[in-house]
Amino acid sequence: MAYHPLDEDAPKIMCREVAEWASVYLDQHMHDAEQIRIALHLAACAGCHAYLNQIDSVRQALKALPSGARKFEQQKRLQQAFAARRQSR
Amino acid sequence: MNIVSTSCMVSAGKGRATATTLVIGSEKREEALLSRLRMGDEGAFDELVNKHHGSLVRMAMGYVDDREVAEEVVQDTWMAVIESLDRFEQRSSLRTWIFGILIHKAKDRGVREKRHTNFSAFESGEEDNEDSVEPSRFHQTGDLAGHWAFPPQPWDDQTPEKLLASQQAVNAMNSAIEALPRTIKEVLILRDIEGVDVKEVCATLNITETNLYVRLHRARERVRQVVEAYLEGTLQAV
Repeated sequence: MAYHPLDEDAPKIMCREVAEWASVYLDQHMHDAEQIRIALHLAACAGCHAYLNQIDSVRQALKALPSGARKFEQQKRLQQAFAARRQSR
Repeated sequence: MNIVSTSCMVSAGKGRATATTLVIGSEKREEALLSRLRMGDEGAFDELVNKHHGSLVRMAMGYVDDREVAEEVVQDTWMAVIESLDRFEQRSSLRTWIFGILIHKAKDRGVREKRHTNFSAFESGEEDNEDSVEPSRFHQTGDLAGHWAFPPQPWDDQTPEKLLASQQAVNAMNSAIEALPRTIKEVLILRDIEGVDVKEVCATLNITETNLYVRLHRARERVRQVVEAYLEGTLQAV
């Protein structure tokens, strides 16, 4: 049976479910009714609110995470191969 | 229950306009980069290598046993990119094309090194039946079953910047990524580190959007656990 998210009879969502769906929610990639159910839960649940913020912080940090890639040994060879490509055309 | 929408739902009009603008901006940047590459601009090639080399090595590490071999696979990938640049048909983004070449070469190399038995073990063991978040953090019985027993503590708004400013935190996050099983690592690298669009990630890895989000969240959660330990001062030395 399909419920409207604001329907009082709609089954309550559990924190464990919110935690599993955190990434889909943050990417705004879920159906409207589910997005609303989770938003309503978040408004009343400090634990889930903190969890989603943590996942969002991780997501932001990963975006700018330095890879530790350093000038690698063969970079010179690649540059030469790239330059040779131009000369051969 | 499938809650993943099959099309991106940046539903507010303003959000949709912003998303569209971003896509157009990145397409224009890529077009410009590609024509510089095709004209033989060495600066453009260096830019491309510096931007993606780290992620390519991380990705290759999922298929082969040691870093040296992964570096060789990435080197072969770049050589293939140089040789095939004129034949690139732009049916995907340049970045997706490069990662596609890498995956193909890394799989080949992994199979030659007899890693194929491990691939199937990784692929079958890390799928849908497992919770991302440690179940013991939730009440198991009673009226509160399924709700937090040990809720996460709030992090402040500057947490991402603070993490990036700490070498220990950066090392810990890099180690956490390195330790991820391949199938969830490659989703995290493409989506969160490289910023590849959901549909392109799915096409590159040949997975559904539901699968992508299961894997992506599992990967983010593992990195989150490491960050949580770092912030609480309980992180093992890395």
